[in-house]
Amino acid sequence: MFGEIVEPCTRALIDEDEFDEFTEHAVGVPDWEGNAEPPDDIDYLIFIETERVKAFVQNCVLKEPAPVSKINNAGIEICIVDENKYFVIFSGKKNFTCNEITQLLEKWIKTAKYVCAITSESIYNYQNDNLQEKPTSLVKMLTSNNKNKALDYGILECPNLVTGLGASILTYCLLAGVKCNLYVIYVDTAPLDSLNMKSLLMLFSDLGISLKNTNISLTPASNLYM
Amino acid sequence: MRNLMKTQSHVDFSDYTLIIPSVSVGNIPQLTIDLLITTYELERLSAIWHPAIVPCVGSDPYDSNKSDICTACELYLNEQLKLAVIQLRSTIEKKLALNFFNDLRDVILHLGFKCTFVLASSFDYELHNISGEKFYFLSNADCNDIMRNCSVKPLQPDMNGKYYLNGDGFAVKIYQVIQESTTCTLLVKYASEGDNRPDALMMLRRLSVVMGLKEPLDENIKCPSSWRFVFGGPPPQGLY
Repeated sequence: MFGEIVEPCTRALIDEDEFDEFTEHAVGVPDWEGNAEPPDDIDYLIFIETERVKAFVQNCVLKEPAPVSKINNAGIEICIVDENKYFVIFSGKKNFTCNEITQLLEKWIKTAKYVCAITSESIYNYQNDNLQEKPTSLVKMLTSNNKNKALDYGILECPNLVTGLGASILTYCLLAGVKCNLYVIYVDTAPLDSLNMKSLLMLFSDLGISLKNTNISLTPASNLYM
Repeated sequence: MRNLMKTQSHVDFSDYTLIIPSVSVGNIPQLTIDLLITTYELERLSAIWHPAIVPCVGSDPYDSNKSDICTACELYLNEQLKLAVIQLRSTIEKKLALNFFNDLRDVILHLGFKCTFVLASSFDYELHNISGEKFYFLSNADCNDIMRNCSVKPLQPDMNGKYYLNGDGFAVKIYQVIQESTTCTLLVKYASEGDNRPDALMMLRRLSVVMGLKEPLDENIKCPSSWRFVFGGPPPQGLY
């Protein structure tokens, strides 16, 4: 009913009756289009997640938007940016869990010399005792390799957690011994604007990724509150 | 540990007790695992990987000065106490849950844990008889005496002979899968949602006694630094 507030039965990550029925699950078959095998020389493999970052990359970074490879039923598109630099753009889960998608891309991850993931989150979900006023945007990072101080954006403080494919990639890299950084861009509004895009521009500049333009025209998904 | 985890140390788990939390009401089992790790000073052995685990990463929740990262599911242990615990910070994908339970059981058998405890909580409005303690157990081990001494009552099946707990997550199912092959005990606390830290403290004390550990004194119980944010961060200054 419109206006009805539906409270979850518990704040624990369970639904009522969720675990009542358990069934055997057959592993899905990935629908690869293009080459499933990675090229021999990948310098950078950069995972892009969430609509904000994805829209920015598609508008401002990718010179050749057609993917070189993709998994249709996993929401994955692999695009080449520069020589030996690849973006893996994630459009949301389809038939696979995040960890399953990571396993599908295992060979690409192990071939890459450097792996990183970029995700975004609302700044209102960012918790920090010492921050009196929240800025329009900020970047925090988590790394699988503590000695890696190449890009020092400040470690994401406890109790902030990152979920999604980026979290899965970092966990996998930690176990596989692959160097990986996860960058979280906290922004104050859902569509990017000239103010809160500053952190994102700085991050891409620091990663050595050139922009084809900064003339971004990101259309909000909804006209509500405009 | 097969494909589930990667560790460089070779630990003989044959004398170890393993504790697994189920994601359930008030997150009491996970809070209890937090207290076990900090109070008994357990060390992290490895992250655990499985396609069913919903991924999450963050900074070390037990020491804010360290730059280590924590992941969704990790194994901690204390070699002196022969105690190993799994901490689960997210949840399990339902469609892959059964695969996860079976794989976890295989790992438990492969590593030869002496016994396993599954921790759970359930909505206390489900309880018909609310007198006395709200701890219940289900076990395939002969532990009735010690449970009685600790005021932990046996869980009763429903009219169909099945065990059902409302809000327990996957606790009963994982117990059923593990107890087919090895010694397993399910410890349940009935509770309401709210500030569940006292519930976790009670579960820690009860679990310590049941496992034969020395019950921790109040002054020896350490809370993780991340518990500062249990009710969220400070209010924004713009409010004032």
